[in-house]
Amino acid sequence: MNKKVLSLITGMICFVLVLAIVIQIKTIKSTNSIGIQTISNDNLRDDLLKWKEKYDNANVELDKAQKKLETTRQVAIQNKPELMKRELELKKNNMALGLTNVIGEGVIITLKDNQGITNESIGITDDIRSYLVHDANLREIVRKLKISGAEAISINNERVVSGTSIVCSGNVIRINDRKVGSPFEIKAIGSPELLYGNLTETITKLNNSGIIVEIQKKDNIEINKYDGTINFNYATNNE
Amino acid sequence: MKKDKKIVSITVLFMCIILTCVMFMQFKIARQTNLTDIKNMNEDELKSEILLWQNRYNEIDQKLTNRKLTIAEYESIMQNNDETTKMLDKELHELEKLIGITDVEGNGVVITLEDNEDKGVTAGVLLNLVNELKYAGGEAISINGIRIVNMTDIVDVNYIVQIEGHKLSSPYIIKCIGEQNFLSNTLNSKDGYIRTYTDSGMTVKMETQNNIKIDRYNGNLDIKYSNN
Repeated sequence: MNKKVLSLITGMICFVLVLAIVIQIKTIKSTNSIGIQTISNDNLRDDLLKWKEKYDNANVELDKAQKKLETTRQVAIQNKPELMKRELELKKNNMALGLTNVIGEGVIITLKDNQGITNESIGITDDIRSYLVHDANLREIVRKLKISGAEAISINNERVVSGTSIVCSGNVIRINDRKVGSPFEIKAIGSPELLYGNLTETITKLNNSGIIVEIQKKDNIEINKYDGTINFNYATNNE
Repeated sequence: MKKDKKIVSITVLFMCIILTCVMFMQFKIARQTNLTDIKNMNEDELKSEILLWQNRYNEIDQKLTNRKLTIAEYESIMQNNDETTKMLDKELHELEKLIGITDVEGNGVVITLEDNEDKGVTAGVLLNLVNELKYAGGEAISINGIRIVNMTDIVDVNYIVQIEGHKLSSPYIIKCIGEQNFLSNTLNSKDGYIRTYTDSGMTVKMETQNNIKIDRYNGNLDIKYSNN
């Protein structure tokens, strides 16, 4: 009797263990295939890093050239009030394009996915996607900021310039073709009262929909310049 | 007999312990491979990312060359007042073009959106279009003749679309200068803009056009709150 029970238990334990082993072998197989891919893609990865590095180096060079250009220009226009006015205009235009670092008062908005939510903890009619920050949420906030007269906007340090698009590709959001992820920090320079007041409604709505959004007024917000080039290849001046 | 039993149960226990250890080790391995970013990109993603950075590098390299040329030109005309003026004007003009305060001309696409009985064009519809056009590399965009620059706002006021205080009405004609194929393919793609809004009952038409003229931006670009 006792023997029978014992062997039954042993049998059951063995069965469970075999099951577990099979499951794990399967997972290992799938991770292994990633491993193989990793090796074959290593060259591509190196390439990508190489181009990124080249870009970064060129960017540093460009900064230097810009500084040199400014000093050369200064020398060229010395003591000529007429030319100095033009130079001022140049600086203003560069600022309007988003090609300079700027500092000023404004607001900082943070948006976060609601991490505490899982598929189990929400009701059947509820959708987990409404607890994640979407590209449309960011576009809505940028739109409201523009309406409220923001002069400079950045999202996770990606400066919003005239050619900036905010799109969703797969499960990441791309701004200026670069991946950005939650949490999002949107900085905006402009009248703090206007920005804060006009954004409150949107932010309350987003908070009620499930994501976590905060806004605060701040002095001395620093917004970096656009990290890229603005170029027209197809549009030409028509005069 | 009793001894046998003991040996069996001890062996089973021992095996259980070993198997549990192995399991944990394997779970760890599985977790480690779950990394993000470059390490986890597949071949296609890597390729498109490389292309992106190549383009980015080429553009910035071009800009760098141009800037060096400008410096050289300034240095060569150092003492000549007239030439310096011309040089400054040239630089100014280039920036003005990029900001959108000059008239421009080029090839691109023209999109027409119309209200119909069940569906009206709202500011959101236009904003999404502008976002898509920018994504597709649109360089200059205008809606019913009003140039869209960086900080342009498009709003609904009592069911009327307004851009910077100008009231608009149907049909909405959006002109965009840029690479024609890229623009039209992006808008025409499956799940793209035209499909999405046509399915929702709106009338959307697009055609490619050459020598589109887009007028300059007329508003003011005053900066009050930002400092360098």
